[in-house]
Amino acid sequence: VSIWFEIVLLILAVTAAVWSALPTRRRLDRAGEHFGRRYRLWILPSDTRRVDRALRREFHGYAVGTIAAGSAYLVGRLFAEPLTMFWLSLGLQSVVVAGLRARAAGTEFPTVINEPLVARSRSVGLRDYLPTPVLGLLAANPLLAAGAALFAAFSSLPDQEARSVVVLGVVISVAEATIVGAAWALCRQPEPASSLPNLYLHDAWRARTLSAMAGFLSVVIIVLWSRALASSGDAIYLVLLALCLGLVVGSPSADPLHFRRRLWPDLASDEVVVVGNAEPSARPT
Amino acid sequence: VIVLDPRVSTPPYEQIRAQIAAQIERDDLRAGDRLPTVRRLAQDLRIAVNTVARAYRELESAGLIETRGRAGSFITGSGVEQAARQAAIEYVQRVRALGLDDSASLAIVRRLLAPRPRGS
Repeated sequence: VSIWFEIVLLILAVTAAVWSALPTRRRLDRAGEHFGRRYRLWILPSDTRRVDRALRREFHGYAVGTIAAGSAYLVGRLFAEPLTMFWLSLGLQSVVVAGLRARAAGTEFPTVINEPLVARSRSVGLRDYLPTPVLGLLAANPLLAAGAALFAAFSSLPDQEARSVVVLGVVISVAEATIVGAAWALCRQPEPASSLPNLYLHDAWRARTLSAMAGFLSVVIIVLWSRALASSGDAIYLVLLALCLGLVVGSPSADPLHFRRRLWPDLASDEVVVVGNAEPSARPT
Repeated sequence: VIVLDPRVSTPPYEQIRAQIAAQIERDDLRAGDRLPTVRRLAQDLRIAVNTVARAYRELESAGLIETRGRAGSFITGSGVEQAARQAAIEYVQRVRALGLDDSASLAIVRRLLAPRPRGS
């Protein structure tokens, strides 16, 4: 009875997760508007459809990742306890989503054949899209996860609890390292563009994706550490955790226009780039 | 930024070469800046890798860029190199204005660069 209950609960959870992210017209409009406002873009109706398509593809990646995680959970439950399998499948989901995003990078806004093509004449990397504190967090996250595993291994947690956190720490550090690799690979994907606004759109989309990845990874680390520290009851750890929480949650959303200063230094800070048929007044570096 | 227009008669490699050279002249690209990899630029512009490689080769033989193994291609470095390149450009312009052909002007440079015998 208990395993059937778990299966039903899992199916409901996966369905709810996919349903809550369904790209309905209203959600697409809201997401597009938020994207434009955050990255100083004005998307003309001629290009709205391309952004909607990119948002839909993002949803498909999320749905595939969630379903893969749900299936992995079901199979894994034959061999492991629910909590470990929950974390394993969460790790799998994030790796699948990040991998699909990295693979799709650069193909979101296709160009028209026989039109002039525009490319940047200098190479770009992660540091062009993410501010230094976020880059530092990205680099530190696999180590933080490994640190949580070590902490649990040598802590006074009950055996089963400690073992579970060690497994999670190892799994998450591997997942985090894979996702950091995916973020790095994402930056190396091409950005075929037919105009400067089109290139700006690619850059903004890339910055958005990388920022989301960094934010997600950081939240996972917080959850992992809070689990590792939950039974310790030591006040100093809780203070440290609260500090990390503030840093981690604050940094990815702190500076969405970092890429603009790095790659489009000639744009005025409040200038909105019109994506459609117009050219921006500035040239990229 | 590099714009590749398939509708013009100039070959794609020449469009790339000319635009990168112009950006270096305008100081849009500076010493130490890394160019995109050949593969990445070819994918961005939807052309063959060989086309970009040819443009880079020509820029390299003109002394505008240098390839540092797997690290990629960079705009040539020091002020000394830039000054030497400028001097070379002035020399070429001058000897061409004098009516000297390229092989003769190159022979002059070779003679000047050749090690001098001791005691002379």
